[in-house]
Amino acid sequence: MLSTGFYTLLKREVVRYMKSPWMTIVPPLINAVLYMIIFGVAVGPRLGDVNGFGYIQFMLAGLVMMTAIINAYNNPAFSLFQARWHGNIADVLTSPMSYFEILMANVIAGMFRGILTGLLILVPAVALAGMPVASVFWTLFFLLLVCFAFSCLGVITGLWASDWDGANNLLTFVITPLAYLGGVFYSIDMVKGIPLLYQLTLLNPITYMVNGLRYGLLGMSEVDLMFGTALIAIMSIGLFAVCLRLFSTGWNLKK
Amino acid sequence: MPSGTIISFKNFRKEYKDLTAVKGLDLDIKKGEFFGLLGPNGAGKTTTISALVGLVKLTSGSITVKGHDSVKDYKKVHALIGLAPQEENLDFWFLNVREILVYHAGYFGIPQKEAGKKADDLLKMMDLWEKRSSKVMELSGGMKRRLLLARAMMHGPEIIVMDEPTAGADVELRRKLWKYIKLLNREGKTIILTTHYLEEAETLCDRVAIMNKGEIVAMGTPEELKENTKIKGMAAGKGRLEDVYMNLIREEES
Repeated sequence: MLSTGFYTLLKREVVRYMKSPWMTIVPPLINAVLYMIIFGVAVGPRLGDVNGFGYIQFMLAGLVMMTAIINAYNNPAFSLFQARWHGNIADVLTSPMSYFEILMANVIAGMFRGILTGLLILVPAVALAGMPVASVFWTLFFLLLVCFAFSCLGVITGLWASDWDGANNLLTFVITPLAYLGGVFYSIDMVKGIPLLYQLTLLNPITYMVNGLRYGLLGMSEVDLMFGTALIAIMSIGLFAVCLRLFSTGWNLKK
Repeated sequence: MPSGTIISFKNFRKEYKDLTAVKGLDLDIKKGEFFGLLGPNGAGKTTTISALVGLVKLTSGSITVKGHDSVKDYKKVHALIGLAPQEENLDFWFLNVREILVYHAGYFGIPQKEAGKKADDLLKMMDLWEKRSSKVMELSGGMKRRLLLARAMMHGPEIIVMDEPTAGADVELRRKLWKYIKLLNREGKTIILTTHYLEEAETLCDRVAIMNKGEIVAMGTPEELKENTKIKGMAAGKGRLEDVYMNLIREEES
């Protein structure tokens, strides 16, 4: 049974980004529109079909997943770090909320932001540009699971970072490069002739996340779907277990 | 009138990497008592109260509040305590003054409607009503101090812990804050106050403990301390608490 405290903290975390959409929600949408114009409209038609779909449709699935990942990660990473840095985390830590509730409020708020930004790209694409949705279930399943995993990763960063650079570094130097090399803009088939890129793409967990969403939207899969699903599920459980451990021991929360 | 033990520190010890901040503290605080923790910077006052409210891990020993262990039953303990910290750690990013109070009450399980009413009452009591829609950045230092105090009172705790609540406050504000704090104590709240202002402790506290280097070096009512501490060139009981304090700290250091 979750407490009033949990719902209050969840509301706080959601209101935090809903109150400043020009800093949180709008920039990723502008980025997505720019990617669509450059790669989808200007470059895409020269590439022809990818696995039977127009390039813009193929790329859009990747773009939705990349945007959702970055936003699900950013929210807890920066909110928790800010609260630690400023000291207002004490407001929550001295309350009767359980550590599980504090963790879940942060994770769910991050998931919600990831899914919201993803859907803000996807829904207009479906409504206005005829983007197909092969399976609503698999589309939402992969969005939820991946946002959960990256929100947990954001929580870990929010607890670990000791300065603003630290909070930003994982995103800049790990997540963003992995997202770009995770098949957002290209199919695995396209890089078969480039062994290093091909291997890197297959080793990259984001490839399986993007592939999962592509399966939900386009009904196509370039890698073993079950393997990908299991990989993402194991990653999510592992990251959540780490978060629980860190919260229950008060790592970087209590002196 | 203070009665029965409400907070009990038993052999509480806190060690950091290369420093022992508190060295086996034994202390009982009575229900309804106005208790002062005095001492120089680094004496262990803030560590002691931070451990009480769950912001510091105990190296050894225990703290109980109304019989509940502060580690095992932390939820029950947290519900009993309100904290007005030394730092102005108000949630200023996007909340206004009233929202800060309402959200804080929510963390303590108080429904929004009830929290709103309580916030309005406290804002009026603390002379912050006109600023209810302002952001923290628009408040003066004194207003922030009063808001911290209001926040600590939002969930109606039995114990209020104040870490140097009047630090940096001018004389007028300090007197105003004293008035509010005394009122709370008269309502039956147990107050724990850390302060550098010895006049403040002398005026407000039923009992004080003087800490130095992680230990309590003297404890009693201000009158008892004045009576029992020999101060060079002064008859017993004739000095001020400040003289007692300086004498004890100097003794420790020599």
